[in-house]
Amino acid sequence: MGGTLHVITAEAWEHLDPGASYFQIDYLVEYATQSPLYMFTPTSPTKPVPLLASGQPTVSPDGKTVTVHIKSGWKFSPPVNRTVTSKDVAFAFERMYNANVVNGYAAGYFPIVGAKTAPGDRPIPGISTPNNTTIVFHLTKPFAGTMVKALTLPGTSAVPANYAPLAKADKSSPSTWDSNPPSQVFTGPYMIKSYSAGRSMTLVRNPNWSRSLDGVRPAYADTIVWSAGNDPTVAARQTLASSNLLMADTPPSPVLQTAYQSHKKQLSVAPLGIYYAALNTQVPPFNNINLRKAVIAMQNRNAYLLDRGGKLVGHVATGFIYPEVPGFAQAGGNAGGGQDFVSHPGGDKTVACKYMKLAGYPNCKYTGKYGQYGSVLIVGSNASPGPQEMQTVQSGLNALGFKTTIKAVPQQTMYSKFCGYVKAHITVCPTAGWIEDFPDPYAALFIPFSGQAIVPINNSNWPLLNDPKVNAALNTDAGITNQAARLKAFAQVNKMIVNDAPAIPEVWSDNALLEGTKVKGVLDPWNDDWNLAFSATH
Amino acid sequence: MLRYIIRRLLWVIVLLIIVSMVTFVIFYAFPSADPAVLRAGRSPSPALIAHIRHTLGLDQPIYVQYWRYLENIILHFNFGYSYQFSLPVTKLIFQRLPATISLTVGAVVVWLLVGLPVGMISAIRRRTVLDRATMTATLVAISAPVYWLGLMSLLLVSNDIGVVHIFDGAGTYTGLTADPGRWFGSLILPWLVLATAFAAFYARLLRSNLIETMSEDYIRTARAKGLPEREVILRHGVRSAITPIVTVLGIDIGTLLGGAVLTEYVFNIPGVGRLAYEGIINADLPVIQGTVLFGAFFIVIANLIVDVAYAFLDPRVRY
Repeated sequence: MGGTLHVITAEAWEHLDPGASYFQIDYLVEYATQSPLYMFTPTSPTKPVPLLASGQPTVSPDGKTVTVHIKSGWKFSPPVNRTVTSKDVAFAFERMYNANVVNGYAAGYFPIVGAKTAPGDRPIPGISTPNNTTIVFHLTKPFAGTMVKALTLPGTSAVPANYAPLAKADKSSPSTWDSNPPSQVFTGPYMIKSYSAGRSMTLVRNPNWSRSLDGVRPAYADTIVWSAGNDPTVAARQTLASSNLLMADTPPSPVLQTAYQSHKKQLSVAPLGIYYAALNTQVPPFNNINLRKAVIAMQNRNAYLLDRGGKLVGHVATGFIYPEVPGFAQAGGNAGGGQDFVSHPGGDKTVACKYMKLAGYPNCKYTGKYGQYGSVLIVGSNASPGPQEMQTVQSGLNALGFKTTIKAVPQQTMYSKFCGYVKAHITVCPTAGWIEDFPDPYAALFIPFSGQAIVPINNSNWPLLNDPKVNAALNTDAGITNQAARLKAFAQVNKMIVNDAPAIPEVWSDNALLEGTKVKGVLDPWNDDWNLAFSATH
Repeated sequence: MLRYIIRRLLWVIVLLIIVSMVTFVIFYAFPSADPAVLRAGRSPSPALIAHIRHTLGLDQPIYVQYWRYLENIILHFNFGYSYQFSLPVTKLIFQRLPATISLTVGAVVVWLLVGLPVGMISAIRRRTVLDRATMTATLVAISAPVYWLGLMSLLLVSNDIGVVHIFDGAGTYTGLTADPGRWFGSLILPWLVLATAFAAFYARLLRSNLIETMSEDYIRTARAKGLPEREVILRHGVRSAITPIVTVLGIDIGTLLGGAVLTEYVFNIPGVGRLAYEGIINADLPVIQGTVLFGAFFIVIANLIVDVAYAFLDPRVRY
């Protein structure tokens, strides 16, 4: 107990306003400085534990009403100092729907009656607070099974209602509450004492936080000092050579190999997410399901793993529910659902040929038409391993007679101008990846594969899969509250998606993290990173 | 002279407007990514994107956007708002400028202290072993990429990950006002790394200029008058040979004040170059544009200073 925890990263924070925060690195700060209603913890990585809430939520039989009771006596940090009430939680939801705050997930996970994204903080008709410790959410659809998991997101952390500086900040567009994090109000074990954008941050204890009332986070360190913006190679080597550093992002492959060889005790590994090559299901030639299956069968998926660094960084994927997501075992685990076109990671020409014939190409070579580009347009990131992955997918496609064109662009451009821009009609996006927002199969599958999630710009359903059966199943299963039934149902949805062959499953990725010799870093498996409120120095 | 300076200052304004126009066209009219989408984050609702687009003025015609951009810069000194850091770009740049100035000034001192004497000695001791050795060393120094040199220096002589623990390593930068001793210690290695290639280049440049100058008639005359060799070299030779170096120095200082990207990156010095790098990585367009404009400003001002300095260095130059 006590001491200073030193954190080092290459990446810097984006948004530290709990209403806007939506980034892995930011979450490390949020879960140390704020208190969402519930929390997935290192010891309970798949079942939410009540944090600000006093117990598990109550769900109505129709799955359209969720009631949460919060703990009495929980206090805001200085200068507010007063007790948190349910009105403060309601205000947090109002802020998430305030367009000036710019929250990326509220509309998707909190379908509350009357909630609408628009500028300004305004009451949401579907939220009621019958007393100071009770909040009731009325939903537009039976969605409670998913929403109770999403109540772990940082946006559900109470923020002081009727607090003049916050009200003033939220009137600006964008809200300026995010501009000076030390001036924010905190409900977690730590407060942000100093902050320099992209450079450094210091967290100190929140004098109004009570360990006994929290009951979840031990908060061992007295102070947390964070240095961001470091060169990843240097930061990783500094961490290996140090006694007191905790590196919160993935080290480069060469340093990782060194760590595996001679510093294994300083290495922790958590499953990260999935990478896949999206095949556009709405334009030729891959609007033909058998062609998609042929392409997947022909691919040497071991090569994708090698492109990313080999077995040190993950496993060859066989489906779209990945190892850290509940439901992975029900979906078949590493072996997957047994579909013949994903069963051979090294590629299988015979299976590929079978599907080419079913698609109408008896010679197992594609001779048909292409879309607007005159060939299969492959667009990927120009940063490693993007170019290698594009060549891998190209090689498999050429073996089946497809003409191909490669376009390498910056990662951000790939998403915003090509793969995430529906009208661009990109045929293959081989460097797409997904990490779930919280450990639940809905969060892993809905946005990347539901037709209802397709939006014209910044679309994340890159294959543009719009299978009515998948859409319906995702909607129905989102409401299931019984965990065993839910996981079984989503495993079935995963099977349906794999059968639709919208993408080449490439890699279930692992995140390897480094720590100094005298640091006890504790991993949050769902966020694939350290949990600072659980980590300690010896 | 005053009229010349005023005329040049007016040209500086025109030049900066042109630079702003070019950067605006590159980053706003043909952006690598949609700024509204970047600001919105993953899977936002269309309503949210529409709101951000309106807030950023992206729903206006391009010429209106540019006019507002220029108006904000000229009237309010406002370069926009960083998507990543949620802070005004001007504030970010001014926060980072002291680190960049510290790095630049120290490196300039180092490379002048090393490069000029080496160049002079090589020129005077032409074709000796010393000359050949220094010129080979300068060739190696010019060829070494600064990022590689930075990493190697850290792995060899930094006091955390180095083989020999001598200098403060990466991420130790401290502001001058916060702790002058630590400021100096944290910058020794970055100064040396950044100055290496410049020192080598200046040594070679001065050597070639000085060799040419020392064969001029007026140098022979000076010697014939019986002036000591030291005075011939320093007063007559170096003074003439150094003029082109002043030109290059001005441009180099201006460029580095715009950000020594790789050195700042590898040593995690929170300077303008590091900010520009982060802007590029995150497609933070206002930051990219702001740092480009600041860089351009420093370069044109440095050029102006060089041109004025010419009048003092070279008696033949009159404005």
